[in-house]
Amino acid sequence: MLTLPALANLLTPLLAADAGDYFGKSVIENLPLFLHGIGMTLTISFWAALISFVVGLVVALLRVTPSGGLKIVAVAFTEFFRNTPLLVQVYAFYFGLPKLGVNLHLQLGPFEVSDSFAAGTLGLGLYTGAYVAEALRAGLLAVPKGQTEAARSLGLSLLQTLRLVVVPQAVRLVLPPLGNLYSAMLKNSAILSAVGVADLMYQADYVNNRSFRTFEIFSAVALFYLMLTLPLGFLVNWLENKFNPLRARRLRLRGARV
Amino acid sequence: MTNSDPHPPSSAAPANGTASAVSPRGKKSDGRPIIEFRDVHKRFGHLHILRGVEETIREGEVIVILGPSGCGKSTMLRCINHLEKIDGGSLIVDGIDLGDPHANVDKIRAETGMVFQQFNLFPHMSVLENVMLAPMKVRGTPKEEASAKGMKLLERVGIQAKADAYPIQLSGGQQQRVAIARALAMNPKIMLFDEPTSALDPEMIREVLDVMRDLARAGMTMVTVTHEMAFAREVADRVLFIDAGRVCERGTPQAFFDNPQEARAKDFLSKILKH
Ligand SMILES: Nc1ncnc2c1ncn2[C@@H]1O[C@H](COP(=O)(O)OP(=O)(O)OP(=O)(O)O)[C@@H](O)[C@H]1O
Ligand SMILES: [Mg+2]
Repeated sequence: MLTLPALANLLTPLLAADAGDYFGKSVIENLPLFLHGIGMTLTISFWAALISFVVGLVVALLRVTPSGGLKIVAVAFTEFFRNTPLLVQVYAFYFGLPKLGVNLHLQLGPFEVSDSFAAGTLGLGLYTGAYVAEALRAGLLAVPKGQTEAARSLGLSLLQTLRLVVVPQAVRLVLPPLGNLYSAMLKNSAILSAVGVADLMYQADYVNNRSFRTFEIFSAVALFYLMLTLPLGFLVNWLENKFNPLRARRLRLRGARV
Repeated sequence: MTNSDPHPPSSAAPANGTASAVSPRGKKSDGRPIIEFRDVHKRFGHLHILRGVEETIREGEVIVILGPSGCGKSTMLRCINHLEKIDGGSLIVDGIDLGDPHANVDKIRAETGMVFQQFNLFPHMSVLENVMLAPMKVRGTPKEEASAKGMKLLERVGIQAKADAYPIQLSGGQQQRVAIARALAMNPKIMLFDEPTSALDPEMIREVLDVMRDLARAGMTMVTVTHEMAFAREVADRVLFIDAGRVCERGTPQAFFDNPQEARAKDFLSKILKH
């Protein structure tokens, strides 16, 4: 129950600027740690997004093109990764793959990749990839069949038809759901802290365990995540405009007149 | 109905002595066969749609296909450019047997232009880009050349002023004319039209039929499914009447419209000519 005295207690640090203590002190003092965490969250998200897009595209194409055996593999992949918890998948990769003799600790040229980073990124990438595949498939199927027939009847190959006619139209349909998926993925990346990836969530836990200023720390963390996901929404809007030839043209024309 | 002679030597020949059997562009009955249906069958699941189609279409002929709804007119057209695979018999288009699993289908498609009821222009490309796409990507035509040729074709269908517009900015009739230009850009030997004016408002039908008439006059081999009887009468060299999955009657438009032989053809004509 939030009683008045309790509320006052909560707000005191906010107001007591002179006490040498203030709301957010633990965040300000540990800012470098938090910034490192944000950097790591972005790094994980970048690689997981890349993995998920490539995987999602391949799986979606396997599902829309007529080839029986591969279609089953694609369906199995999608259903497995969509219907098991992300945390379980990350644990399975982190603890399971080394048992199968897969070395997750990688040295790629000058870059050292920790096993937790590799397992976490792979897990997050595949999990998101299953959703991306579904979104892309829906987009591809939403392009009218007459478009494919017109392209094929002009002599374009199946691949050319996909690349030049179907995909460019599907992109516009697919951008909003993809935007949602990638903002969900960015937030889901917090789960990777459970296997020791030093992301934003991990640093927050670390600072919290030493200072116990839970409320201010996680308020700040929520704000940080917002700062990461909100621009994604704007990016999607911008891309949507860009892939709409009519709207893009009108904008260009308007710009030219001004 | 058994076909003892599925290919009457020349349906365009003046069997009844009327001059109308010879088209104004000269006799086409001795042109090279370019589309040959030989006992063609097509099934969709348990639906047996084409049941032994026999027909020879010669270079330069203008064919109009008529028949009741659902009789397989579209299916017949779509078999010619292999949008549908035939299940039996053989279908030879420009010397290539489409029944052969190793047939070069893309080549047939590139040489066969198709115009659809719903236009099917690519909405993410401008009018000119629609027309340039296939020559550039399939034939490797350089961009400048494709663009110049595209403009010429747009001029031919009377729509060069809209070259930079996008399809949704055009009326139905304009879109269909662009679709015709797009098909012509591949220099097809055959043009297939599947009810090209059925989705159009009455005032736009004419502009599309005019383009098709010009094309016919220029000697293009055309196979058209249409309900425009006046067009069929004026432009077609031959009419094919399809029923029960076969060519049930064939002949010059004059012979077919004025003196149909088969009961089903008479029945069909009495229904469509009533309104
Ligand atoms: N892909 C398909 N799958 C199943 N049935 C089909 C398919 N395409 C066509 N059919 C069926 O085959 C029959 C013939 O179709 P088709 O489109 O060739 O007829 P049509 O003569 O062009 O008719 P309409 O005048 O209505 O256009 C119809 O009954 C149709 O429902
Ligand atoms: Mg039809």
